[in-house]
Amino acid sequence: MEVIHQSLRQQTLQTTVEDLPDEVLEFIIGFLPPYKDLESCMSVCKRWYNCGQNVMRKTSLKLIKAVGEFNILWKNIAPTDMTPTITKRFSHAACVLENSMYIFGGCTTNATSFNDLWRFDLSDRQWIRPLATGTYPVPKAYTSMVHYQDYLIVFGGWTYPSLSQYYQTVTMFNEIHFYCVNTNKWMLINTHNSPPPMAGHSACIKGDEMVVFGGLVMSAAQNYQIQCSNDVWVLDIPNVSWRKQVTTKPRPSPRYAQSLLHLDSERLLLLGGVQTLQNRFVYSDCWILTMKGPTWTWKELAVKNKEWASANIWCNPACRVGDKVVSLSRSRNGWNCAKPLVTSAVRLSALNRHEGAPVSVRVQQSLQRPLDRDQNINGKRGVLPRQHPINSARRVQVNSNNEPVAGPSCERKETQNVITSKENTENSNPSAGPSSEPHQSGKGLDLGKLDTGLRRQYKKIKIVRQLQEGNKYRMAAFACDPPPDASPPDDLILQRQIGHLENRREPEPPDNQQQRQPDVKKIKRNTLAMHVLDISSILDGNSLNYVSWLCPRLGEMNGAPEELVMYSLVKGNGELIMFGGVHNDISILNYSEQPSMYSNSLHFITPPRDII
Amino acid sequence: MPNIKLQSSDNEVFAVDIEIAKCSVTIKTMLEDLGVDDEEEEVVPLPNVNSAILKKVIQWATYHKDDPPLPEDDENKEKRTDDISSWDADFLKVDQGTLFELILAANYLDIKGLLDVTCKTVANMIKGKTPDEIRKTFNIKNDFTAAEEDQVRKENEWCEEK
Repeated sequence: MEVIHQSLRQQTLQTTVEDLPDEVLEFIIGFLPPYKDLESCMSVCKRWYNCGQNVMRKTSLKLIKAVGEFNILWKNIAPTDMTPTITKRFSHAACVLENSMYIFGGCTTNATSFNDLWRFDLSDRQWIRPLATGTYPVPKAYTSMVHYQDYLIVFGGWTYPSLSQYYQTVTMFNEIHFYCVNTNKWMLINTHNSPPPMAGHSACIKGDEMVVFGGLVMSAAQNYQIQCSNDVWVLDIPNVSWRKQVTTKPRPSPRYAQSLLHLDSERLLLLGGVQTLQNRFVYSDCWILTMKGPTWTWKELAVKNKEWASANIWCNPACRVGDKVVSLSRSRNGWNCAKPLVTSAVRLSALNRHEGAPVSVRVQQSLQRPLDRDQNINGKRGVLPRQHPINSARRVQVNSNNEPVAGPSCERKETQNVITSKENTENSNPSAGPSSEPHQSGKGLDLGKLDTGLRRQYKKIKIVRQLQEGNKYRMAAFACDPPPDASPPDDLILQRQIGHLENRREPEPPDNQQQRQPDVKKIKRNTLAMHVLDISSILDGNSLNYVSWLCPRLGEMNGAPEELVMYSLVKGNGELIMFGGVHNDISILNYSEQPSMYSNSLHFITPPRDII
Repeated sequence: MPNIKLQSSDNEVFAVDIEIAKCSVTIKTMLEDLGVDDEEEEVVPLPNVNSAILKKVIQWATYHKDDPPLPEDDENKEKRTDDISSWDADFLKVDQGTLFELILAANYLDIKGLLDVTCKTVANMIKGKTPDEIRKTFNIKNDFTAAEEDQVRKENEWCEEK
């Protein structure tokens, strides 16, 4: 022992951290969170600086690789782990600047908007609420927030009408606020030639300019009606003056809630978006805006592999990771759906519609969606196990019911209200009931009737769910209740949706029912799955005219959060950070305070890795 | 159990269970390449490891001999990062010189588990410290000029990857 101790003492004098080879030093530094600790390492000395640079580069590359291979980890930080913590919200703005993620505003219900600013320290994983001085923005949601030098620039947004003033329309803003992260001060900036008040627009920084696209706008020229926009506005930041940028045509259809991503110093990528005001359009198209010369150029890209596209790319934020774009959407739980869930606007543009002309195609998104799995469960629960023969008979009955009502006949019923339509269908059901009798070999009539009744009940539930799902975005989160005189189109939508839903074919039983059923029983929730758009075809000198979705991994990923919408998704160092959002569920329509409907959880997407 | 003889840089020979020795990928590969002869106990020279450190390494490997094999690199499995076991933590309550010697030995012998746990220990010593504190902790000289130091501070914003 004596000998050992002596020799250990000798080593102490000899071996230091300087003796470690570079790759080992990098390995050590790689265990540190890639924020402040990594920066500290890089400031130690030249050798550590170089090792830190390599770690930084590898951290980025690992995330890109992990995303491309769908080999990711979900990690969650529950809000209870931290004090203080930000309140639950959705439709907030998020931005990463200097090792912190900033969250501004957002809302919880139609009646509540926020104007608080929170900083999540990515090094320490702590929420901090900086108590800022200066002129705060008003409470609002759906703003844009970008960073420029030491500033966060908050622009636009809207405030929901309060519940007591149901018919009041939303208030929209075109104010610009700068928040200086160093002085912790808000500044209201007066600008020249401001764009109209807007919300749900996108903003990106290009040099000393802030480029703004789309959104909902409320302008005097349009009699203060809310419109969707496809204009490009540019703020010259040093001179605080706006200009409306001239662009080429064709250009993207008017929309809001899209993603606008930075490609390089001259180009932006536009993805998704929605239009729910008069008609309901959801977009999954993709455009490049080249910001060069006096007239900027829009170019539409073909989107390949749409069957693998994110189901809700139109309303969920996309985030660029190297030569990939990540979007989170409901997982399909192991069974791939053959059809794209959202009809693309490519189809719309194929109609060669003149810009500004009335839109003639309505995207019946709810019809294109496969039945929600929960609804399948409902349908199945309605059937007693021993009634399988009836089951098959019923399918025949529904199918035969289907044909006369679907399609144009719905449109003729325009003046009918929802209830009439429901009654009509209900009336038609009993008449169909007896007709199915002959098929019910060995079963009594009473049982058949009971079954039909039960079935009708479940069908109603389903319909309500479908409708709520279809309209939720407008009603709950994108809430802009149309003025009373605008109600007919809405009723038309309801009317048509009910018509379609009531008469929709029951889905064919899946071939692999044996495999599916256990899944359905085990997991009664939808989780978010990652979808990845490969944009390498348009980067690094490649100027191909397409982007393509990658084949997603089937099934649920461990730790993936339940399905949320209206969350924020930003990229940190070697990780993606998702915050907040609202559960994509029907109970949101109860308009009552349901705090659990909203989230203040943080979810991180990382490559598999070790960080201490 | 067949033994293998490991010879340290200062010519001390250690008889080690061959299965324990094989936790070192370097030794394992060497034995496979040479073809193990069970009859004759060969002496494997390890010129980069002194006897004190080799003894520690053998102690570590013996304790961990029954550990389940580490999953293949980067399997999609949550890896705990604050998972230095209390035994390892005690084992690594050594001075810095020994710690770095162990890292060098683990690196040379290619013992992933030991390399992980020793490097994590060093990372824990770095975490939360300012650059100056890091320099003091490890006795590192600051070789930046004042201008360079300013530059580094400015650069600290994360480089946007292409």
